[in-house]
Amino acid sequence: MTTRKLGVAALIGVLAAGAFTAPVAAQCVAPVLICFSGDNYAYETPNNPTYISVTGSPMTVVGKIVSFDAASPLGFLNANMPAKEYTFVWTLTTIAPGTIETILGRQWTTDYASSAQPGTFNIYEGSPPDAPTTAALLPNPPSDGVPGNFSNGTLILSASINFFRVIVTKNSQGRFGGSFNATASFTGGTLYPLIGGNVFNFGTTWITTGPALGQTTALPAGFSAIVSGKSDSPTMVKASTWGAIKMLYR
Amino acid sequence: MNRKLLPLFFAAAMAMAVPASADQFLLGFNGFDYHIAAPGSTHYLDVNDQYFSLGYVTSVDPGLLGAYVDFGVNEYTYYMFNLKVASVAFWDGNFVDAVFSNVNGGRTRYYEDPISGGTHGVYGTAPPNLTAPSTFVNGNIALGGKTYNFEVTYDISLGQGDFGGNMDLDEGVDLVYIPVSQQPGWILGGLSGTHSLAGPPNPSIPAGYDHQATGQCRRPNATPSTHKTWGAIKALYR
Repeated sequence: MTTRKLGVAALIGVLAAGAFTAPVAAQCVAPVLICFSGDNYAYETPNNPTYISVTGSPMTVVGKIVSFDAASPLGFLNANMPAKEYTFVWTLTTIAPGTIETILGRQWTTDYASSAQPGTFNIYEGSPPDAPTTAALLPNPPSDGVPGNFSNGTLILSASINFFRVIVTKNSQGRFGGSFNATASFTGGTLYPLIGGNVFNFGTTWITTGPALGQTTALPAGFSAIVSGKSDSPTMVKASTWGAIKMLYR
Repeated sequence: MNRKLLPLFFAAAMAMAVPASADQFLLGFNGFDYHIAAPGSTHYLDVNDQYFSLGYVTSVDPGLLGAYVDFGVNEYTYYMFNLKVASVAFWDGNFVDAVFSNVNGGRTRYYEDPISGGTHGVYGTAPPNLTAPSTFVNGNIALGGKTYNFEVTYDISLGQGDFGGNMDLDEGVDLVYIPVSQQPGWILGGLSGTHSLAGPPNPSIPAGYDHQATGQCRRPNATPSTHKTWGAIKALYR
């Protein structure tokens, strides 16, 4: 009996460990500042499982950062330290008129942020790691762990997103593709003084859910896409002394 | 006895909470793409234009490759090449749908190069140049595969597009770690960048490269699973 209980406990333990294991991170090389090239997740509320969205639909993207550019001011952050994780949450809203079928049956374009209707981009340092991976996601977000386990910890950077466009395509072979292109500016967070508020780009892979070629069936019901990519470095601020600044003009 | 098995059932249900035949992340990459226009080419990715993409592998699946990849010791890069446009459709003068030849040797490779003593990948400008692709294709081929049914769709007016195709892994020192059933997979990614007319320009793209490119290599799941109700799972043990 004891052995059986231990076996059950061990199995649960193994599953739990797997649920919080992040992809092994790699290099993140300039001009990239932040890499989030594993699986990250988009969903709309109420849940919209397709790539067609309506005006005013809130969209959330949650994910995990796999690495920071080691040569950047954020290079001291170790996204692979077992005791910590770096997660992000984007909040966006579908802009009128919603998804436009730019080319019938071939291309769908949706804007989720503008200067007049900005989204938010928050990065958190959390400990211990508890953000669920693909295999541990529960259906129909928001749910236990989504977005809560991606937004716990210290808010180290927050940004305002003034452009966010998703384009989904279906090519001549019937394979779906997707991309997103976005710009934002950091506005706050504990590490804001290191980065400053200049504009940066981020993007670009958007894999929609569904059974067709080019889509993913890895996510439970309620999620609309796997999001993957990177964010570029804004032009950095540089700390200096008053004397050094005066020297520039002598 | 059934009660004692409840935790096991619960754990099993959690493990199976993914759809049937779910696909699986293998690795992710970031870089830039460029093309070489053929003589007589009249637009981006016209027939016979060649397409290339290169950059860094930025994450790998811990289950399949994590134990064999060490980013503290090695630099991992990728290179997509031998992709020549076989046919192209232009929609509304903006939307390009370029289909690539399956008989031109299209291939994607992931390389492993020691950080100490190796050569760091340098993009430079106007590729191909003295450092690109050469500094992205040195070291061991960690994984490589035939890339076919490859297609790029791109909206010139919006400065945004995507690429996708099949990629059957068939070479590299890490090939042995990928189960045979998971070697035929696919490659997918997004593009955004300097061609932009309506979208925001991206100053991060080196001169001469076309776009920022990010993507994933995904594999079929080795152990297809399915959604089950709690009652259905219990019924299996009655």
